[in-house]
Amino acid sequence: MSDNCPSRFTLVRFHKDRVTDPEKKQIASHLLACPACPAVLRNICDNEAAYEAGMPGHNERLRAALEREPARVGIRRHVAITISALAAVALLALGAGLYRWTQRNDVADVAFKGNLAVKVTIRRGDGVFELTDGKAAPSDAMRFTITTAAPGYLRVLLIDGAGGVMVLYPDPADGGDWLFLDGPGEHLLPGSIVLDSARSDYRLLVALAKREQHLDNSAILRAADTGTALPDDTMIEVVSFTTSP
Amino acid sequence: MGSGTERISQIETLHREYAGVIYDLCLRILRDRIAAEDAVQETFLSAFRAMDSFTYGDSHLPWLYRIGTNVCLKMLRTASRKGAVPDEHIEKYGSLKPDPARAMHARRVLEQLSRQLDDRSMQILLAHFGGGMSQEEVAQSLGISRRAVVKRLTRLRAIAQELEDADHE
Repeated sequence: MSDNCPSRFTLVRFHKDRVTDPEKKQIASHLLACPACPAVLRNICDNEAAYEAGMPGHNERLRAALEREPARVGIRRHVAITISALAAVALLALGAGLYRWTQRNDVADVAFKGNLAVKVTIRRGDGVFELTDGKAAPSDAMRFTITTAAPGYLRVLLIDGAGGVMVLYPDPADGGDWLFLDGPGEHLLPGSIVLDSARSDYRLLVALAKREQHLDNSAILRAADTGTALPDDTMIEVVSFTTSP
Repeated sequence: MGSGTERISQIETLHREYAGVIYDLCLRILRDRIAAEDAVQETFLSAFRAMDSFTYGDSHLPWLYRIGTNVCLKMLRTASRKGAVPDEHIEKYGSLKPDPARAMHARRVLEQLSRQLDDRSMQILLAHFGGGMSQEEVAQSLGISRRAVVKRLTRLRAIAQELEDADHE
């Protein structure tokens, strides 16, 4: 392919009829003249056809997985509702919030020492208890309480047995990389999490940084796996547990 | 956002329309037919979970490409930690000029890179070489400047060349 050729992605868009009319004309005439691009387009079509050959099975598998999903979606909504309710309270406390904002800049200057502790509370049926033996059930609703000795920035990751990483906090729907904890003491995180029904091993990685910084999830994972230090004395706490029906 | 049933129906419609080309993307990154099929499924599950964040008016295709690229990145990292993919699973499929040895080498390079590079560099690399996006399309897809894309790709020039060769030589 030459510099004048459309990108493979543009050929995909052309193939799926997701280009504008002028683009379509331009690409069509290019395909007539170019010795390379028709082969790329054919390759795209071949790969698509290879997947579509097994479409009934793929559809069935996806449907089964999607039908297991609504519980998690419901939880997200629950979080959103909780946050909405808290937002009203937060508006009333705007003055206090402004005061805290001035304090945030000072977070980096205070000594960032002390412990980070994580408590996982499980609601199962009518009962509520603390996760202490590393065993949970698929329909358990989990809530997390973080105890810290200083204000800081929090990220909570859940790693499943297959190595899949899910960011629990801050809620991805809210954007941002960190959830600000505005002081020392106990912080009950909003919402609850219900895990998939599949049996799996999980690790909960809780990272607390003293300032907002660029820190990839992979760096947090690496630090948890290897014990390597993270920048700025960022602390990590790991909670492991298994779900089984 | 609709009810659970409506959401499932929306994702199934997207799956019927775009799964084949997302498979093309995943196959070109993972070089493993079974892993690519798993990645397609995971892409549409992730899309289902992220439907609230999808802005209507945006095209679904770049959105699904972005999700698919991230799913593949996650799978590369998992595989690189576990050494999970046997060589014989890595196939010629997805390349213009099939060469299993080169495909396997490209896959190993990506696994190794996934351990060393930050998320953003990997997203750029995978979108450019796996997704076959131009620098401009990568920039638009990731919401960054073209200059930032060029800068990272230049820094990774040698690796980029190796991946390009694996596909075209």
